[in-house]
Amino acid sequence: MTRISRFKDLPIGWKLAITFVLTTATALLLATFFFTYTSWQHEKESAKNELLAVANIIGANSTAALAFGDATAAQETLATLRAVPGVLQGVLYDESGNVLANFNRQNPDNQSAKVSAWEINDNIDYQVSSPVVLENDVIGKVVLYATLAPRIQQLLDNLLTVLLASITSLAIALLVAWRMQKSITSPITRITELMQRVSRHHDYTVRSDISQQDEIGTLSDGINQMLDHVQQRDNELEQHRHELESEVSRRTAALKEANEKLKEELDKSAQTEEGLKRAHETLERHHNEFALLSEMNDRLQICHSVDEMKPVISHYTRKLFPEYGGCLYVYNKSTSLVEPLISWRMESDQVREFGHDDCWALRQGHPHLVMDPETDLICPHCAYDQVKPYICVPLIAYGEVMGILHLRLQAETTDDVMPDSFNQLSVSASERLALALANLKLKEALQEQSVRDPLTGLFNRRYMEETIERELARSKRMGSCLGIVMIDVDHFKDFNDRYGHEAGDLVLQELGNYLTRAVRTEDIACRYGGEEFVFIMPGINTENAYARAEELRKDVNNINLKYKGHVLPNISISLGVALAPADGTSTDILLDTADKALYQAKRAGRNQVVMAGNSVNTNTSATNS
Amino acid sequence: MRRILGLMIAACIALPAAAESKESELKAAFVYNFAKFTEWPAFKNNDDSDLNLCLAGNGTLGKVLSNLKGRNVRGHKLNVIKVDSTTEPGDCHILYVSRSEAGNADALMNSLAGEQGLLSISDIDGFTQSGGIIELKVVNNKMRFSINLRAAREADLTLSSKLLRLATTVEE
Repeated sequence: MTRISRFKDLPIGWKLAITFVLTTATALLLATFFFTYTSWQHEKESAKNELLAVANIIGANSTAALAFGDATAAQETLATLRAVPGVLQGVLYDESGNVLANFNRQNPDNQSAKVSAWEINDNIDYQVSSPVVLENDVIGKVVLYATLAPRIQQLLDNLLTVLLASITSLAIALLVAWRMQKSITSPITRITELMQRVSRHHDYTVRSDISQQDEIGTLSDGINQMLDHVQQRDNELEQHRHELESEVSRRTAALKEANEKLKEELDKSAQTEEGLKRAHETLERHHNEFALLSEMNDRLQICHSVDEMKPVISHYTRKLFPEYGGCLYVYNKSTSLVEPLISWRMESDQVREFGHDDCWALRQGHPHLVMDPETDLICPHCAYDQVKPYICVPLIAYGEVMGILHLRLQAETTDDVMPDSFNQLSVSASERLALALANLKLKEALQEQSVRDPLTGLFNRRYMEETIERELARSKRMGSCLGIVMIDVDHFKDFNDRYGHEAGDLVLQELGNYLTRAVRTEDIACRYGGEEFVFIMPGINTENAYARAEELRKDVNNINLKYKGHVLPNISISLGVALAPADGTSTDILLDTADKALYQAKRAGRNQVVMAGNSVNTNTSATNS
Repeated sequence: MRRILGLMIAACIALPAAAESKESELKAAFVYNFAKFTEWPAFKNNDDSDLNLCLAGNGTLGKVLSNLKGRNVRGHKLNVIKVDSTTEPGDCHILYVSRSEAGNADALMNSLAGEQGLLSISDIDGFTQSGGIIELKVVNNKMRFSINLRAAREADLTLSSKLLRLATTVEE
């Protein structure tokens, strides 16, 4: 395919020459081939015939020699074979098959050379045998062995001659073809070049100068006529173009003028619009900030703890002050220190607790703004930090200082730093934060009051029931045990009667203090009512529950009680232990089971621990009386 | 009695002549072959009469030549005739003169000189000088012959060139 297309792309001259030469070469080759082939066939046939003729002549000439057994004469006759090219050996046999004479081309001297040696000679291509007849009697035979080599040589010589002649005629053909294609293609090439010049330079003034009477002449004339037309059109077109251009430039100037007027008017209106837009943006920003503030306020109000508030504070302050990092510090009355509650976008070493006097805002009771750290007064609590513009706003609610909101610029740009709106916004934010913190504090206090027993400081019965309920659910979920210890002060009624109710209350208070100290972090101590207490131990097994109860019992024995300068006698307690899920899976059953164990302990002589019936070991061996 | 004696003599001669017998056979073959290479004027017009081979003198050759009797030479039946007083030279086409006739060979040849159509052959030394046409002789242990071509022409016989070529000497 490519070859064909490549041939297509050749110049016409080449195409003609190649076709011409290929055709001639093919014809010559074919002729040579057939000539050689038929010659060869003919040679093979004639060689045999000729050899047979020679054999016949030799036979005829040898009749007398054979008849008279004259070997010398026969040898002379055979020697004439030397003149016949291709004959390698000739043998003359007499009537009875004996060799009378022998001609050997390669070994002429040895006339007795064995015939058989020649019969296997590779050079021998063919052989003929001719009987020698005298008077109708066969008196012997002539056998000739010959090679085709001289004839092949002759054929090759002929072939070479033919090939040389072929090449010569091919060269002549090529020359003729080249001359012919020149005469055909040179006018075509000239016309082609003319057309290329026209299309490349758009020069329509050139003309073909070929004056022939054949098809090419007609083509040339046609092209010249066409070029005349084109030139005429081109001139007209050029004129039109000039007219059009001047018209366009006139119109363009007018348009430009009108455009400039329009632009001036547009600029004016744009300026007005810009002012409007800025005002609108400010308004929108204020609106957004207000929305964020009230949203933060709503979220903070429903928080139950300070921990819950932290992410809310961080989230909204980041949004409200996108270019600032900050920290919310809370004032701790018990330590008189200002402690960081939560920080955002601040290095960890920039956030640390400090004293009440280390912040100008706290001391003055109103916001302290530092615009330029080089010249403004810097709070001591951030004096060691890499100085950047910042603001401290005190958190004040219900007339009480709660802490400060510290905001520090983090962005590199100091343009447009802390405008009045920022100042206002930070104050608004701090007001809401202070109020939320104060409300939470109030709420926590109320909560504490509702779950604590005022006398002992332990959790009250309502909280205890909720807790057992919650812990039961959790132990069920975790697959762990829950220990409930019911504790009763021994002979408390007698104690009250003897030393008075105030001494009784003291006993309960001391016991409460002890239990508060004794609890593990996960244990919960509650006052059940009167002189009864409940100790809740989540995730404990039977052995540990018993050991723990025993430990409590022993420790209580050692509590020293003083009342109005008098030393009161030591008290003892009885304990009943129940374990979920072995002894029950509901609050009521568990408490009831523990109570029954406690009753057993009482009956068994008090000051001892009894494990409930279904618990593994109900060992009640109390050593104390 | 004479026959028995003759046989005995023949045996006495035959004993040393085993080689002689072989030579005789060869000579007979030569004579026969000479006939093949010779053209007689008498046979020119497609005559199919017999070819007469006449034998003059005695010797073992006579017997051997007798064996050729009845053979065909150029379409003519070969006839072997022993020459006696009644034999006419004109009846013979070939005359073989035995060595026994060496003494009167010259006289014989003189009497036959110019006889038409008679091919004279002999193994007598100097036969061709005496006017004979073909003389057989042994050269180097091989049978050879010489030809007196003039005599052959006088006898109006045509000898084949092939034959002439084989001859040791050809007298013109």
